[in-house]
Amino acid sequence: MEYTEDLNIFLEEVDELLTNTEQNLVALEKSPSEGLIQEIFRAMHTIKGGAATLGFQDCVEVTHAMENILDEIRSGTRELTTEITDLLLLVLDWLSAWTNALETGSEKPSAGKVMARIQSVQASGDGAAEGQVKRGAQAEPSGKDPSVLDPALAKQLIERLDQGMPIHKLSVKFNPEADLLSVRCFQVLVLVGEEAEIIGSVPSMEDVESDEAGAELDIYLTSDDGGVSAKQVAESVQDVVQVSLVPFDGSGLAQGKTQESPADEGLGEDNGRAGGEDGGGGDTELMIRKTNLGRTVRVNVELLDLLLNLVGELVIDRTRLSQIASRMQADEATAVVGNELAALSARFQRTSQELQEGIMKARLLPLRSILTKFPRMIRDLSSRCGKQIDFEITGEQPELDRTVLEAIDDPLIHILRNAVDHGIELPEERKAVGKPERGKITLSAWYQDNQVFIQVRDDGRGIDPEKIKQTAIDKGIITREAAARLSDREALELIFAPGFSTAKQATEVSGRGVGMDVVRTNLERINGHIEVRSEAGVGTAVILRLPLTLAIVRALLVECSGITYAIPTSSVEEVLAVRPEDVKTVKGKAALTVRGSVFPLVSLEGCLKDDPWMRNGNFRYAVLTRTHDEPLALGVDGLIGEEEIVVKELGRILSRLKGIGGATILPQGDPAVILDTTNLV
Amino acid sequence: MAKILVADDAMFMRNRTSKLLTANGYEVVEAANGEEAVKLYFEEKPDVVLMDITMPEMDGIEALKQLRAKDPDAKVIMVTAMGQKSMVLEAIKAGARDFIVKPFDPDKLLEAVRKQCGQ
Repeated sequence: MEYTEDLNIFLEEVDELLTNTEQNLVALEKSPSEGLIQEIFRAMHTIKGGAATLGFQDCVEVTHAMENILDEIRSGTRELTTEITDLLLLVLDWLSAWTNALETGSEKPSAGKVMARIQSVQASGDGAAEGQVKRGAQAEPSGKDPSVLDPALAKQLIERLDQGMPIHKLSVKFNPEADLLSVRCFQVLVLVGEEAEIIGSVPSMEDVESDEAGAELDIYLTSDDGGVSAKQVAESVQDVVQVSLVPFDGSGLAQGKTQESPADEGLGEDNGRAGGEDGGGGDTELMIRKTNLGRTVRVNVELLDLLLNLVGELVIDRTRLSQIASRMQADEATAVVGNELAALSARFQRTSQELQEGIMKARLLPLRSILTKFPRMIRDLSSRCGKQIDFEITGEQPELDRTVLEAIDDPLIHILRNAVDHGIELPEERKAVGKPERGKITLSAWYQDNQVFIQVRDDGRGIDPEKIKQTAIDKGIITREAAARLSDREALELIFAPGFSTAKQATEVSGRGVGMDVVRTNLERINGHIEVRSEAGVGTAVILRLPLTLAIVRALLVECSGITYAIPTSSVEEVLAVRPEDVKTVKGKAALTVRGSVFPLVSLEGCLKDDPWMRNGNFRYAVLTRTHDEPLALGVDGLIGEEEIVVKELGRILSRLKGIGGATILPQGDPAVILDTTNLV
Repeated sequence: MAKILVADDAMFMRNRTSKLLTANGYEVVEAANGEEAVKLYFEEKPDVVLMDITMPEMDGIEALKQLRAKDPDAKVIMVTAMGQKSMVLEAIKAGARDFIVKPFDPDKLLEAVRKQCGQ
């Protein structure tokens, strides 16, 4: 269990690091910076550390090798080439496949191919590459033979002895398998130097610093206590297996093999990789399971859905409760109890409100979580179609309900693809019209009016309304006459018409089949809205307007033949009182003209009965809305008001009904249908 | 009870180290980068610092230097990964009392900490 928990934290962290690294890489390609290299290096390093601790040797090898290459770049001994960036991307892909396999328990990808690529890149370096791939290769070069004293040191020793100074030789043996032996040597020298005066050592301090150290170290020292405390500190250093202290009399310079006492039993043996080499990390942890679970927990989404649903019920109950309380208060016989109930109901209202907000918050995820893959996607797409594109994500990082996030993922991909494929021109085209060769796509997001706005803007060729009209005519979406009457803005709306696709043929990038109509439908399904603005030659902006959450919406309650319906206010453009004389007949069908625009007037009741034109314009009110391709006036008998309603999913069978988006329970306790105006007709 | 400051940018490593230390009766304070480590050091006055080398904002060596500049008695154990030799060397020069190499054996870490606590 311990192991699983560790693993989960590790995997989550790796996930995050991979995403960051991917972004950094893309940024790095645009403008190389030391900071970014450092970031990427750090990511590899961190992954390596975790993997080593959990005993994932394959991952350690890959990240370690990559770290070495990055280190060379960092230190300037290797240049950053596209070959290396590509290699890094390959490594990222491998790592994500690798973590994926661990998460799902499927078979891990082999590191062979990646390692081969890394090695070939390493070999192609300028020779500065150390090629330290396996940790075995990391063994320090063995030091100079300690039995031969440097003449300068020998001279110094003899001088001191001649002065009558007692000298001791402290011989330290290290576990030859230990990591960073030369640093251990250095540490011993530093510590011993605090306890005694060091006259010299073999290898010397300088040699140790420049990595010329092996598993043995002889220190010639002098001290008041005859080197006893020096011996003690040396023994306390990790990886030291033997320490011996002998008086040095200068005779037989250097041949002093003395009796050696084991310094620290057992230390030499388990210079262990914690957790072993092959995923046995759990064993060593058994004794230390305890506390410190961090401040976050992972919750199953289904549980969150259930909680939200239950809160929805509470919200309904709280309204009913307060209604009952006021009824009781109104009646003298029950007024006392009614007052109590009213007080209770007020408290219940506050608590449930907070509960509701809390749970909604728990369902929010940062928009960032779906954006992170885009820089890489744009990079790949643009290189595939020979374009040069800078992609930038700016603005705040709003949080949205996960359902909303899920629903906008595909639309965003589609919009960005369009921007790359149709928006940004080829470098030579851009040059010809005096634009910089590199195109730019910006994705920005912000909060406004309790909604989230996401805008994707490109500085490409823009959409030519005339071309749009022509395509629409060619595809039989609109007649030539109707097209001629359209304003430029209305012409742009045509791209949302079913069956419309501006590409002469579906390209590899934009993909096939899915058009902007599907994008709009998907967004409207979550009460979102999409709008396109474009100026020929200057660029295009696509703006998405999204609700923070789907669970509770503001809705207009309307009445038709005695039945109450809820229409999400996000799809209501305007509500009008209808006088009989306002209703015109256009081509034999009822229509309302509002400030010059014509809205076909249909009956809400009729729509649901599949006879939109029934009662032909005999209504008191009209709700102006739009289906996904055209404006529509819904005739209703009465307006009840605006309410916050809790959206309940209908079962799988009912949810397929045309024009119905869900159900809710009204404050009075009656159920009502929530309309989906996008496909009423 | 000795107090240990664990500075590491990887939550995973922090978690693991803290778990080990708390299970062995130490009080643990965590820092996610060098800057935080320096700040927490003077707020929390830990007995020993376990300092990762590679960290964002401020790396472990810089943090070590800042600690030692203000408190020459600061007991810092560097936590390093293989391949960081020159940096560990620099750290020892800058006054780190000891170092351990990741992945570390829990016993070794405990031993290093115990030594610095003078236990």
